[in-house]
Amino acid sequence: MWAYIVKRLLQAIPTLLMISFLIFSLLYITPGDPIDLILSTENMKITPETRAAIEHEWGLDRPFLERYFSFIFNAMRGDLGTSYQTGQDVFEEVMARMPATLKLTVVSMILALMISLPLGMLAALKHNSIWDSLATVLATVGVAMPRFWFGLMLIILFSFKLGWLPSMAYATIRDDGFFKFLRAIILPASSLALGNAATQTRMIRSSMLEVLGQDYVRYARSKGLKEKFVIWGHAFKNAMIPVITIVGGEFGGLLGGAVVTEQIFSWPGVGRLAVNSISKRDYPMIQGITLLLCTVFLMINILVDISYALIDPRIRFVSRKQ
Amino acid sequence: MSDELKNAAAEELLAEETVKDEGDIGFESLPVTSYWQDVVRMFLKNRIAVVGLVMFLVIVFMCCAAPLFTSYDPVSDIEYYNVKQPPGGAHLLGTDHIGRDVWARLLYGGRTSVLTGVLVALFAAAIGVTIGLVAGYYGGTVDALLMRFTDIMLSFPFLILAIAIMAALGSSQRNIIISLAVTSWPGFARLTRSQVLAIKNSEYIEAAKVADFSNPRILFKHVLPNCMGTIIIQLTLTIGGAILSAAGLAYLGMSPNVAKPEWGAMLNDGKPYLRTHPYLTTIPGVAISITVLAINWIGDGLRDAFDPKMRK
Repeated sequence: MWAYIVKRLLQAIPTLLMISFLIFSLLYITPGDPIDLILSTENMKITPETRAAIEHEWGLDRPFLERYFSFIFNAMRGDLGTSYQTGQDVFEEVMARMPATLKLTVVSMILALMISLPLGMLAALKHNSIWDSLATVLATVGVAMPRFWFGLMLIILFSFKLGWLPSMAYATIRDDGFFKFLRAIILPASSLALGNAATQTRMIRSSMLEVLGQDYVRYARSKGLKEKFVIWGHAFKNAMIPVITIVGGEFGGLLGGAVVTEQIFSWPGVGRLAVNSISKRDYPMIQGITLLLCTVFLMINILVDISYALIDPRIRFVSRKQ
Repeated sequence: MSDELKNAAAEELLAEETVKDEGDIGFESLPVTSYWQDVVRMFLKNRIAVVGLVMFLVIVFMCCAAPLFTSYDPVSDIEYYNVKQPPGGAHLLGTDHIGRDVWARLLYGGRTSVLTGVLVALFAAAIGVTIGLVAGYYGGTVDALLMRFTDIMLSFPFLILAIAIMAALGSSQRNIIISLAVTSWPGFARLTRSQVLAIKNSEYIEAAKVADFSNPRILFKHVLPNCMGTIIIQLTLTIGGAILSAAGLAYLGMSPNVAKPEWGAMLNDGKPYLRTHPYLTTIPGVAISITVLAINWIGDGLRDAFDPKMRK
């Protein structure tokens, strides 16, 4: 098991290197000079000498590959540079924002599962019933709506018309208590959860239907096992295996989707920071964000694969042999 | 090539003649249908898929023939004295923040939005299918390298990459298409590769190799047509996804701030008036949702129609 985890962690390294190279080259070809942008927003003028000094300090005067490798070596020591805009340490600033984004994605994942698990199971167990139709409607309509637009609709309904929930609020459990946290996060998380709830419902339904038609389920039934045991003891676990892969893969989409959602609800997460930094050409910040987001995403994928092994003994056996 | 065609034609003639000659019971009750005829028949049997197709055709027709459905121009008809009129009256869906007709902008904007989705899907398919074909067919190091690259692309939150590309290229509708195509091809590559692996060892490919056909010829004439089903399904679903993502990018302000209408940009225009004039946000979103819903229904229908398990 540990050998497997170490192997996966090592495999993540070339991925991160390549992603950072991709982003680095993208920024390199991006038109628009970061110094000009800051000067124009601050309404300042500087002498060519000062400009040259700043360029030298930021390393903008060095050749492309040299800049890339010095970035990589610094990154390996945990130093992602300082932001052009605020002058703050990039690692610290991104990490300060990371909890907000992670909370949003995790809560929305929980919300999505809270909807999709019961609905998908009901739809499969009561095939062709009203629950089945309801699940199908959610699955088709949910993926057809833009997530951010659904969020806007939630704001119109629950904040403006009904006045039940705040449209822009941020709260933490530690400072404001659980109830306030829930009130603040429920709208953004729901808007983010919609698409995932839809795909998951569909996935759980079809996976469960497939498993229920298998021989071992028929055998368990013919043995005279109670339906409860057949479903939860035999069918459910097996039906969940493909679902976990989908759920793990969805975290990447959620991190990306959080960018727009955070923008709508003024949620102080990494996504908002990313959009701001991109428009301001804050190179170190953009590089830091993409690298750290990717790391988080790869870690989640590894966790998903491990949980896979915990659920499915066949996979565990193979990985142990390796 | 022409010989092949001739042979095929001759065989078809022969087959037809045997049917006529034999006149047996079995031949009449089993009409000969091709693979694609089967697919079309299965698709048309699926009620939801047909509804989706009709909805999509109606939307495309209304957008293409926009002048038939509105007398307003979406760009130049600006009524400064008549801004933010709610739906109803002279303006079917009201007017926007500078007094342009929302219905007209919706119709003309649909052209851009739907076309964006279709183009993104086509470009993404072109990149992804080529990579998948090459990786699956040649195998070995080529496969390992290409698939590693594909996995890396898949492991990246694609919207962030799309935004970064937009920032690099500058904001325009063309660049939205490029950035989304560049980020949506990995799905095609994965799917095509798995299809190729499944058919690469079949007898007709062996036969083509024995006949000393060139690799590109085998790939594009013999392997590709047999992956078409999977590719078409993915293509349809990508169109819907691309329309949604393009709207997201436009909402973030990544679309050029020009007068030309586009659904995502309309949502962006309505942003400041969410509280006071919610219809400016509601209407374009409904248009996007209905269009994507119709496309997804078509995709689901195609999935069932191409699945041999569903066929009798």
